[in-house]
Amino acid sequence: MTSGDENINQEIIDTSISDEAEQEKVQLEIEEFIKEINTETKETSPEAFSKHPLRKFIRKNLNRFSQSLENGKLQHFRTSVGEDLFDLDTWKGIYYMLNYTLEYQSDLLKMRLTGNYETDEWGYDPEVLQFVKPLFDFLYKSFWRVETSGMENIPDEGKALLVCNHSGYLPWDGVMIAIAIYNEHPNQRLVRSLYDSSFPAIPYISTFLIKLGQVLINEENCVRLLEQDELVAVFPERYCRAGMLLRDKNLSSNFGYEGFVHMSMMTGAPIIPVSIVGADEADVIPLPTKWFIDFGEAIQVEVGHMKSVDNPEMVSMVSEQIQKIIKGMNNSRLSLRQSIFFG
Amino acid sequence: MSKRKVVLVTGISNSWGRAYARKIITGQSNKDQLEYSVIGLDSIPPEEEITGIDFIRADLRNPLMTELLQAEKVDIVCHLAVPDFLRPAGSSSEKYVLGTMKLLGACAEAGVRKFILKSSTMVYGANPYNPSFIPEGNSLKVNRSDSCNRYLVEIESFCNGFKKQIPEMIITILRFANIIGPEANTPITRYLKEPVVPKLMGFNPRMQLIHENDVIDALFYVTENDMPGIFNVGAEGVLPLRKLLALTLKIPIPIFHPFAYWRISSIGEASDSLSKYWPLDPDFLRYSWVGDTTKMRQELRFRPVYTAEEALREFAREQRLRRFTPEARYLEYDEESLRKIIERRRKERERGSSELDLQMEEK
Repeated sequence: MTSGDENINQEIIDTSISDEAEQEKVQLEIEEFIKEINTETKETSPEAFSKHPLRKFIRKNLNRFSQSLENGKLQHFRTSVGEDLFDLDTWKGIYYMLNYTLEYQSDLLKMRLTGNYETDEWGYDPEVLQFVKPLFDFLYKSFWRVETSGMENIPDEGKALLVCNHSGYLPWDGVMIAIAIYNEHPNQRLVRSLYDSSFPAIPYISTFLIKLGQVLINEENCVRLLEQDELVAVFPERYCRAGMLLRDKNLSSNFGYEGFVHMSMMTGAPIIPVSIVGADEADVIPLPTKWFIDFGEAIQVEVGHMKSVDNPEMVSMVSEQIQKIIKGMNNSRLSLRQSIFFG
Repeated sequence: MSKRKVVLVTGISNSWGRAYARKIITGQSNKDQLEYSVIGLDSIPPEEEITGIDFIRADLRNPLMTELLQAEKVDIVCHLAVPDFLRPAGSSSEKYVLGTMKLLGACAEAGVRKFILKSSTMVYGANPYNPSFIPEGNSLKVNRSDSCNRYLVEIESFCNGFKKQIPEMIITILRFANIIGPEANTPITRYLKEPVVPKLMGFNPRMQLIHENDVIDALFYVTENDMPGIFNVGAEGVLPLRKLLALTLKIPIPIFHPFAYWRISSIGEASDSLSKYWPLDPDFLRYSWVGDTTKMRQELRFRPVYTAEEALREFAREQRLRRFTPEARYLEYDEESLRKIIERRRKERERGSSELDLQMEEK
C-alpha cells in the first residue's frame, strides 16, 4: 500500500513537467485508483474517538508481538512518560489547564457576587445545583449505591405527580429520587419536591431548598407547578414514620396528607407511585445501606364528574389504593433483599 | 363639557398623586377634548405646582366631604393618600385609616361610580406558610402589632367589607409589589438606597418588583376601564433578595434572626423593639410574599412594561449615577422647574391683566 502511494506521488511530480494530455491521463488513473480504494473499504467509516476502542486496539495489537518485544514497548512507554516530566511543554500544558480552570471558577464567582445569574420564578438556581451535585452523586453512586427500576414510567415531558414513601426526618430520599431522575432519565428532568412547612422558618435550609428548585407544600403551589408541566414529588407520610422503631416502620405507613389526590384530579396529572427501600435504615444515622428506588406505572385518576374532587370519601379511597400499591412495591423489593448493606 | 368625567385624587401632594394627575392630563389620547378633569385633594399643598388640576385643601375626615363630592359631580375617586410605609406612630396613621373610612362613606352617599385604592402585596403578610404565589383570595395578615403593614390591612379589610354593602360601586384595589424606580420613595427603595444594609442571616426571600411608571400606568388603566375586584400587580420575574443586593452593590450585614426582633428598651416605650428601626419589617426580609399575577394578566389584561430585572437594573444605574453627579442633576431640575414657574406666572399675568381690562370696560 505504501509503495503504491509513493509511485503516485512520483507520477504527479513527473507530470508537472510534461504536457497536458499526459496530465489528464494521470488524473484519470488517480481517480480510478481512488474508486478502487473506495470499493475495498466501503463499509468501514471512521469512528468517533473514545477511549474504549483505543484501549481495545492497543490490547489487540500487543498480542501480536512476542513477549520480549511487548515488555520493551511497555518499558519505552514508561520512560517516555518519565521524560515528559522534564519537558517544558508538559508543564506549560499543565499551567494552561490550571489557569483556565481557575479563571473559569473566578469568573463564576464574580458573576455570582455581582448578581449576574438567573433564577426562575420559584427561585431555582441551576448553578447551585451543579455546585452541590458532586456530593449528591457521591451519595447516589458510592455511598448508597442506588439502584432504580421503572424509569420508563417517568414521562419525557408533561406533568406527573410522584407519590413516594418517606422514611422520616431527613429529606435524603427526596434528594435521591431527584438525582436518580436527573441522572438516568433521558430528558434530565428536574423533580420539584414539596417540602414541609416547618422548613421555611429555618435559616439557610429554606434558602438552600429553594435554590435547588424545591417548593413549599401547598395546594396553590402544587397546582401551579403541575399546570406548568413540571414533575412534582410529594411525600404524603410527612413525619409519621419518624422516630419509629425499624421493625414498625415497614409495617405501618399512614398517608397523613391526602391533598395530592385532589391536586391530581384538579390538574389531570397522572400519579406515579414510587417506593424507596433502604432509606429507612439510613434515616437517623446515615448508614451506607443499599437503596432501591422503584417507579411504578402511572395511574390516571379519573374525574368523571366534578363532584368527586370535593368528595372526601372518594379522595381517601384513592389515597388508600395508592398507599397499597406503594406498599406492595415496597414488599416485593423487601422480599428479594438479602442484606441491608449489600442488597 | 358636561361629558367630562371628574377624577378626585386624594393625596395629591405625595409623589404618587402628582405623577397620577400628570398622567391623566398628559396621557389622554384626545388632546382637544379632554375626557377627564382632575381635582386634587390633600391636607397639605403640593410642593410642585401641577398644571391643569384644581387643588382643594381639605382633610379626608372633613364632614363636608359628601357635599364636596356631590357639588363637583365626582365620577371616580382614586385614593392615593395611603402611605407606602406605615408605622403606628401616633395620630398620623390613624388619620389614614379613619380618613379612608370617611371617604368611602362619603363616596357611597354621593353616588361616586368608581373607587380605586392603591395597596400593596404587603397586606398578605410575610409568613412561612405563604404560597409561593399568593392569590388575591388569600386572607390578610398583620405580622406583628408594630408591623408596618398593620394599617394597610385595616384599610383593605374595611374596603372589602364595604364592597359587599354597596355592590353598585366599582371598587378596584390594586395590590402592588415592591415599587422600585429612580424617583419612588418606598420601603424597598429606602432599603436599597443605604450603602450598608441589614439582612437576616440565612434567609433569602424571593422579591417581586414593579417599576414606578408601571404603577401609574396601572392606575390610569383602571381609571379608563371598569375593572371591579382585587388585583396583584407585579412585574414579570421574581428575584431573590441577594440578587437585589448584589446588583445594587450593597454590602449586606447578616444578622441572626432572633436579634432582629429584640426589644431594646423595657424602660421607655413598651414596644420599642429593634425591628422598628429596620426600613422594612424583618419578617418581610425573611419570608417570601410574592403575589400571583395570573389574574392581572388574564382578567385585567394589563402588562407592565418593565420586567423585574430591567426595573432593578435601571434603579441601580440611577443610584450609581446619582453618586457622581448629584448637584448637576438638581441644577438641571431647578432650571426646568423655574422655567415652568416663569411661564405660568407670565400666563397668569396676561390673563389677569386681560381680566382687569374686561372689568374696567364693564365699569
